[in-house]
Order: sequence, then C-alpha cells, then structure tokens
Amino acid sequence: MPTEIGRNEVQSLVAGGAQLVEVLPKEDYDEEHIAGAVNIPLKQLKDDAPNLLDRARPVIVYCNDYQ
Amino acid sequence: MSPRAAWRLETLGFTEVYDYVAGKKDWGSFGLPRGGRKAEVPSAGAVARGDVPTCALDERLQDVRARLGDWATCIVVNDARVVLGRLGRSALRRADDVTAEEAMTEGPRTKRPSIGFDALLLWMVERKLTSALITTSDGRLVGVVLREDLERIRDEAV
Repeated sequence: MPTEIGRNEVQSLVAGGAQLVEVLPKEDYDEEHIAGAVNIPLKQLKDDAPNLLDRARPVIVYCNDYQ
Repeated sequence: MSPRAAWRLETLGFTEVYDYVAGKKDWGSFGLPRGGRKAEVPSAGAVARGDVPTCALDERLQDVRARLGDWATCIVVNDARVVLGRLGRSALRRADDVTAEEAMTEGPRTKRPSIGFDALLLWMVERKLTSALITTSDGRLVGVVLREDLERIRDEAV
C-alpha cells in the first residue's frame, strides 16, 4: 500500500537514494518540476516505469497537489 | 493523479512506493529547489530580504523603533516565525507607546516564495505597493521583497 508523505520525508528519502517521479504530462514537467525529478506521465507508467526506474529503490510520485 | 500512479506502480512490482500528495505546489511554496522554465525566472523567495526586522506581539513600539535601522516596517511574528501582523510607517510613527499587537495591521496579505519576480512586480504595481511579504504556505516568514529590487532585476534583464 503506497504511503503518503510530506516534503520533509521526500527530502530524507531522496537523500537516501529514492527515485522522484513527476507523473504529470511532459509540458507540465518542462514548465516546472522538483529538482532531481524524472518525468513519467501517468499514461506511460506501465511502459516506461520498468525501464526507467529501479525496483530495488524506493519510488516517490507526485503531481501538482491534492488532485 | 499521484495516488493512482502510486497504486499502479505497486501493481507493476515496485514494493516501496510513496506518494507526496501535496506535490510541487507545496514544494514551491517552501522555496525548495525546482527545475524547468519557471525555475529560470528569479523567484520571490530568491530575492526576499530575510533580514527584515521582526517583533513579538507584546513588544512596545518604542523598543521596536529603536532597532529598525533603515527599515520602515516590522513584521509581527510568533515564536515559530508565523506572521501575525505588520507594522507599517504610520503605525511605527504613533506617538503613544502601545504594543505591537495594538498598532499592527492584522493578517497582512502574503505571497509564496515560488512566485516569479515578474508576476510579483506586476501584482505590486497594480496595487501600488512598495514591498510584499513572502511566507511559506504554513504562514512562516521568508522575508520582504522590495519593489525597487524587482525593478532592478527587470531592468538588468533587458
């Protein structure tokens, strides 16, 4: 079950090697994203996540806000 | 959207998945590092003057005035630096020695650190403001942005 976290946990997990993923469309990512995040839009998750992400490391996903 | 993505990743075999539900709006509102086109524009958080004087609710105006230096404002905060009010020029000029709480403007309008300098400058010009208060989304003081600083950045960019 995915765990909801806040910004402090994001910083700690990323410092420990977690992968940060913005799941919004590419145009949103290009406009603004969290430093160090990669972009895998939700619709491409099935195809791209297995290739771009490491299953052995934690993954943090985010979008704009509570949407 | 991110909750669906988190659940989808679990079905794809990722075993340690976290959802930063407050997302990049929350991140930006705390002035944390960003990438992308917007990040190339200086943000309010980057140009805010964090050395703006602050005081507590119960401080007396004459004590506040004594340590203002060149500043014509003082931000009233609590122990967590959450903004409670603002003492402007007219409040600071009051002859009666009241407390900051009695003299301050309650609930001053604030902007977030992530707003671009150009958008903030436009907002200030429209409202004829010479300074703007910058806080995180939980109300903590980041600093004050002076319109003259924004105009200088704009002029240097031309």
